[in-house]
Amino acid sequence: MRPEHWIYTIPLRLRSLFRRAQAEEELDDELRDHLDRKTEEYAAQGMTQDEARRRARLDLGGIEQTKEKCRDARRVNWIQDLNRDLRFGFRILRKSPAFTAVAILTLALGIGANIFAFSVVDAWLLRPLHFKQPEQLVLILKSTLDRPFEPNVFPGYRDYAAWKRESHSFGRFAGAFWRNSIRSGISEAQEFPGMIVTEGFFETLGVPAQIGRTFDARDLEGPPVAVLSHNMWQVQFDGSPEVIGKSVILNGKTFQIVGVMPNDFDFRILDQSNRTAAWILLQQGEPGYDLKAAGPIAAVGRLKPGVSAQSAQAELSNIQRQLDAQYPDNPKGYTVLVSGLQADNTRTVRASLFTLFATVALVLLMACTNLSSLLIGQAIGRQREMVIRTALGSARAPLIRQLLTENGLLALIGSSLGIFVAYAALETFVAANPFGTLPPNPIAMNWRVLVFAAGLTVMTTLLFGLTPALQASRIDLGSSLRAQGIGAGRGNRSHRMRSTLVVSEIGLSLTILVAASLMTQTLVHLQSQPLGFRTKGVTALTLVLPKPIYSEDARFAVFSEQVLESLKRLPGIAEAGASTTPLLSFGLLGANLTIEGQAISEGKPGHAVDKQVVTQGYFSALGTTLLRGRFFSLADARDTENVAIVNEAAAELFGRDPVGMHIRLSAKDPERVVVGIVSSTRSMFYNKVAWETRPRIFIPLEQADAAKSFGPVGHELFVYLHGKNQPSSADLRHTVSSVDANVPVSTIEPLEREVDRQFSNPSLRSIVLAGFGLVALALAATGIYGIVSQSVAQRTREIGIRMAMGATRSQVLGLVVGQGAKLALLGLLIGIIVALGLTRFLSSMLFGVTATNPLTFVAVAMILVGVALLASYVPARRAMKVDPMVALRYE
Amino acid sequence: MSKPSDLVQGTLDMLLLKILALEPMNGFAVSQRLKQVSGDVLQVSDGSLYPALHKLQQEGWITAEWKTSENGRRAKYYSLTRLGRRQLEKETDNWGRVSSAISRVIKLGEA
Repeated sequence: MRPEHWIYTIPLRLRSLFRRAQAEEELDDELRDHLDRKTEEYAAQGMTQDEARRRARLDLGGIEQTKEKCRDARRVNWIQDLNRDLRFGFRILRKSPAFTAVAILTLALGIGANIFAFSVVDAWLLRPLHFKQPEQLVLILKSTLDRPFEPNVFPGYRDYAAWKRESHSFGRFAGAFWRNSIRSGISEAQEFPGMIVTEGFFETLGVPAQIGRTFDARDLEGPPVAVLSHNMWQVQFDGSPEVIGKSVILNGKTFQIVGVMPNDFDFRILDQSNRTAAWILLQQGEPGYDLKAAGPIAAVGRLKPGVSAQSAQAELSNIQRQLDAQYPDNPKGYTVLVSGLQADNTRTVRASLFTLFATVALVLLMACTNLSSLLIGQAIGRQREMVIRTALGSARAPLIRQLLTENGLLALIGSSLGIFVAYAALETFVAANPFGTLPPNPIAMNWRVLVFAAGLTVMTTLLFGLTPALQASRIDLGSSLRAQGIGAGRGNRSHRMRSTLVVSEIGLSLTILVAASLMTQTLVHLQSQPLGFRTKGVTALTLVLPKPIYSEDARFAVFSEQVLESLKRLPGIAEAGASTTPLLSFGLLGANLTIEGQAISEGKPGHAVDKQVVTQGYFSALGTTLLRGRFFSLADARDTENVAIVNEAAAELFGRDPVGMHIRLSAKDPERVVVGIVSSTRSMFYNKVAWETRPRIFIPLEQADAAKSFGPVGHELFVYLHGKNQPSSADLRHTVSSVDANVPVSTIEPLEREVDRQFSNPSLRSIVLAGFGLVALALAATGIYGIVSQSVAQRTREIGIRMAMGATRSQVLGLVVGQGAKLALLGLLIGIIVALGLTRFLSSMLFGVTATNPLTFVAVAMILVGVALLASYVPARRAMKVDPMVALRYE
Repeated sequence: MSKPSDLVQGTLDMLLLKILALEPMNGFAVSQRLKQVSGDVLQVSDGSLYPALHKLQQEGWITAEWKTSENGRRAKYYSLTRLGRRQLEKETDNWGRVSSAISRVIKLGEA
């Protein structure tokens, strides 16, 4: 149907559909008018009134019958057509269940993946943040001059103050920085993520408190005040409205609670959600935050209407230049970076999001093209049906409509399933949290996503359905009836295009599968490595020792021994030890090892080693083997000789038996005597996929200077407990708080889980790659299947002739399968070349396997060959079943 | 049983379009005009006239509009659309071809 035709008919049909009553009334009026006139006419011819009326009615042939006929004429035809097409479509789809299943599955995956990706993109990038006019909000950080678009450091408080004082671009301007809070004064102290913000912070964002108020100028000099998050209010204060005015002890200081923010208030610096529990006000006298100092702070501003982020950045850069000139101690080489708040919050995920979206769109495109080729294959098989229907008088439009209805049906079923696929994928995504951060807007399917899905369904229907439908319905009756099946030459160009597509699909799946296989092997290697310590039956606790109480070495050590002693007394716990750095990370405390008797020079200042500060129970809790000498003991105290233990790797640096030798860990560090050697353990560097062993020197907590490494809130203590039965978290927390209720336990988990977490990135990568690899493989398989079965359908007659001439079934099989195999081999060749080029870039993510591992390549190639053969064997079997008599009868 | 009014479907459509092409009129007037111009040969029963008109309207070839008629009564007036005009041309062409072909065949039989 021509579109201009629709302009007329659609309103009419909609009217008859939705305005039934009115149409009915008009019909009544029209017929009554007719009867009246006719009666008048007959009366004028000399009949009586009654007779005239009777004749008029007779002429009309029964008013009700006529009405019914009129209704019939108006009946909404397309609904009936659709109904008929749908029923016919269902029949056709049921007739070839394998094709239907493949098509629906392909669409469900393709559309599902797209809905999933769109939902994620929607939550991160499309939906606005929950602030007043969020598009006006910018976050201001500093970047280096050579990479001006990447935030590098936080501005100092002095910078912030100057910007606020001198700039004119902003309606409002405020500052914020992360500041965790340890809440004490309750039965067990707890640590919460938090922020310290300037007055005017909430006004800048334009969000009022849900109950109570936010900060204002009078708070600057009064007692310390805090605003709670909705979640903190619910969990810690039972959502009671009486919370306003109550006091809460945070980091050893008493704060008055003045307000609670609404649930969807989620302000982030960079894209790190720390689920802030409390905001405290930056008051005068906060250490580091005055005009002489440069305490870190992120600035957030609301641009005046009409002011762009660029011009604001130019203004602030000017101010900063003058400031840098004024204060020679300001760090050099930095510039101001103004970015939109939402852009800042999506800085690291944006690239991944676009990649994800592009990938799934590509997958869908491939799926559509594949389906298209499958459908063309099918359409050729249905050519006779089309020819006969045309011969019987069917116009081309209803045929196209029929075919599109069938395809629409496929797309509809596919996308309904796709919604489920997307739902499952979203659940998994949120649970796995692969970016390590979730957007402030919940990732969910909303009306926008559903509209997108509907649009996608229509688009895919047209994309994969229109070409085959047009091609199938383009029937020249004369030639088609005469020469069935000679049309093969017509599809030559599209055939070549599809072959190219299939070849590239095979190449792509080889590349992805090789990468997936390398990643999986990496994972297996990582998980099977002996680590040098036990993980079974070990619980890891992280305590935070608050600064005001424990920033003195003696108290730090005393508390550690006390808390370990209490924990060890719990039933089921055999050993307890602690360290000031986590077991699984390297290089947190570096040291420069100098050994008695080894010369130091300018070029060789000593050995770079790791330093780890541990309690005396640390080694036995983790089951580390003592190779020589002794472990630390309670006798190694502050006032006794300074001691150290080295691991095997460090022992090699000595060139002789280290036990009894004297060492130093830095120029300021006291001389220590080595008392033992322990076996090496393996750890991981941040962001590096490999277990490594490095030279490490252990020193006892009693003889360390832990106080130096205190942050503004406190110092972490990593406790490891070993025993047959692990006590409950509640017991552990209770035990810690019984020693000092001011010390919060921030995490409790089995060491095994902590070790597993080191694999989360490698395992995520291997899962994602394997997933995409399988999708690509499935696409390649359907692609081969589509092409081969199409050609079988086209060549039925040829095959019949060959068989009639004496070709055996196996020859026919070879003929058909050979076609698929040729495509597969070409694809493999290309794929291997590409994979060899690309996997080099993976080397940094691999462990225990090389990027060009030949076995991997061979295995993946074999799998692909197998799949390709299988995909062409199915249509080949159909070819073998060709009955020469039947095939030739159509001559 | 065949009545003279049993026109081939499609032919009736063409006739109605042709009549409405002259001027917009209501259903009653259409039936009068049909009788008048065909000299009572092509009698279309009122019972099939209205469904036919409704069908043409549904196809978008004619539109209907309620107007007050010459004697003050409200009546439904049909008029041809642009599409209807095009359809009429097409059908007239077709008709010319078919009818000449048929008459040639008939003459063949007589010869």
